[in-house]
Amino acid sequence: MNSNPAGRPLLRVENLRAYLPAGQRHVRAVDGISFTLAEGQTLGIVGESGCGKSMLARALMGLLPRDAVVGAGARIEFIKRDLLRMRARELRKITGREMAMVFQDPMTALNPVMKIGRQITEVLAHHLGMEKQAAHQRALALLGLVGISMPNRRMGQYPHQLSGGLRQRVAIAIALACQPKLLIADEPTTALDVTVQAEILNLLGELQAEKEMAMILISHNLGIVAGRTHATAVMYAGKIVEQAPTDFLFSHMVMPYTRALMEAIPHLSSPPHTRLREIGGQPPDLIQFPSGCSFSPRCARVAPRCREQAPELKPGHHPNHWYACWNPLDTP
Amino acid sequence: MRTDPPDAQTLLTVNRLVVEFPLGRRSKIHAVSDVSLHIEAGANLGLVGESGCGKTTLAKAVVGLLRPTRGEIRFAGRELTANNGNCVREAGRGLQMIFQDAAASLNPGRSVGQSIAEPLRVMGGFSKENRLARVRELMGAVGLDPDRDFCKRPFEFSGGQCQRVSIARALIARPKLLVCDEPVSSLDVSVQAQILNLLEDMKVRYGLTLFFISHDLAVVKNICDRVAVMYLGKLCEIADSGDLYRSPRHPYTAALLACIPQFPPGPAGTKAGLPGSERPAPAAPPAGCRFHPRCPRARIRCGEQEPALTDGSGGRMFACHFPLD
Repeated sequence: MNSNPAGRPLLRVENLRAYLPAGQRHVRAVDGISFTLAEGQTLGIVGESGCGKSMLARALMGLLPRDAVVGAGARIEFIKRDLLRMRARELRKITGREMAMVFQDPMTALNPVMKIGRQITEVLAHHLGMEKQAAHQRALALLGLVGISMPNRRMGQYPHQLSGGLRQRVAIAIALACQPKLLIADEPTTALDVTVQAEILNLLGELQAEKEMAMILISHNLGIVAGRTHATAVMYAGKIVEQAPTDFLFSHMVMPYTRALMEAIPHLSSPPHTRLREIGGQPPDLIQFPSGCSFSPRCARVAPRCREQAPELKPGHHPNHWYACWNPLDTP
Repeated sequence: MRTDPPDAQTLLTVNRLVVEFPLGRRSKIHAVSDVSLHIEAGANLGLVGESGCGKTTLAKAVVGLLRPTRGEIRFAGRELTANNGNCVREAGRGLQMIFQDAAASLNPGRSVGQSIAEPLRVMGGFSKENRLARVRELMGAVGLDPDRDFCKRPFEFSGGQCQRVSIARALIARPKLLVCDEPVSSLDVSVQAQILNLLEDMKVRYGLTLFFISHDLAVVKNICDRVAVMYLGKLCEIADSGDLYRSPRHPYTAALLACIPQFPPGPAGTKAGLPGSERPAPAAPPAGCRFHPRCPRARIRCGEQEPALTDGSGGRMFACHFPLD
């Protein structure tokens, strides 16, 4: 499944499964995900909490909990190297350097007892072997790049002395320190104000275009992914249920879950007291799956077949459109 | 600043409210600085602004969780800021609040049924059967199962369900005004839709008026009839939601609106955002208009003279020397 035919493939994920032990059984957090991301492209991943978005990001970065089980047939190919069959030492040379991650909560991502400057220079010294003075200069430049004023002063401050927006900028500066080819941003703005959110998303977009870096942007809000990504994948219960170029997806979605997610968002254009479409029921229990389609217990278009047989991803109305549904919506 | 005369329809009047917090020995933070507004029965008021602008402080002062430094709060004809405990407690029944982090606002050691019944115990005058009947009614109204959920503890519920419990607890005293402080900010879009719809249902069923605080303007538009915009402790604009969203007069309102992720997306390349993510500290607000250091329309006068909240047409008010058309 290609997210974009242009450009050489940077990341190819095949049949990725990540199970986490829960007592006697397993949480199927990531359950058979495949996609390809080309150089310089952006992929949005959307879905409700607990659908496996963050676990997918952690699996890509090799940050899964120790007791997680990765399925046998899985492959994560990053610039022609299989990350899953790599020694931990070799993997650490790639993660943080060639692929980097920005987390939801910058306060917990940063070290609270280490000055900002040191947190950046440490990365530069570790991965690029830079000398102290050179690393300091580069850190200053990085802080400037992410739009932090007075970088000299900020270098000597601790994370608690910065606002949430500034902290997230520092986290982005650290992620960009080694000029990664892939940036994974996991809900980078969920903890932030609307104004700061717009700034951070604009910053990420500018840096991504400028550095020709590929990006995976994870969010529960379709509105954030819209207009900022080349392709969007909708996740539900550990699986991709619909994927397409972003513009095409928003005009031609066929999966009822995608439509439901979109209609749950209050629109600025609708008058006050407009009733929002709810998605009934609870997100799926990732331990005890329903038989058939995992969205069927909450789906308005459920048919008998949906409860019996799980749908596979199949090609849609566009070369890069894929969906998994027995009873898709009619497209305009 | 003018405050409309309270009439029979006016539920809450806030008059020149000031809330200050000491900061060290000398300086003070003016969290709420000379704010006046009123809420009419049945017309939900939204309050929007960035974090740290004083929204929550204002809400806490309104429900009596904080003592204002100066100013007056009148609710249903009674002055809440008066030094009369009984009178305030009496009036307080009509005024309840729900919080952003619903799970943290519930006692983890108590069953949710007990938590919902607590306001009735505090008020007194209800028999045990009476209390139980009211709790069961409210649990049903907010979409919980009284038989199954009564004895559960908060940790057994999801974030959305905890918010349902806190709504039931707030409504059991039959309030007239419900202050909602970012009630859906920490929820997923799908759960957010459920809670917003539930609040609309409760408004109709129990004749409520909502004072709804949020930094998400799309959510506020969906639920509110009037919207007030706050910046660094001051109101900068207040108008009917239709007018405010169609034609904002204050540049800050316009900037906030531009920051909302549009759906479907706006034309590619549109840049939202405000210059300078470093907001001025509330301890040392800028002279003149507090927004002028970040305002794209600022001129010399804005740095010298503070604009007053003045009447525009159609019941809208704004505080700006050079408003947008």
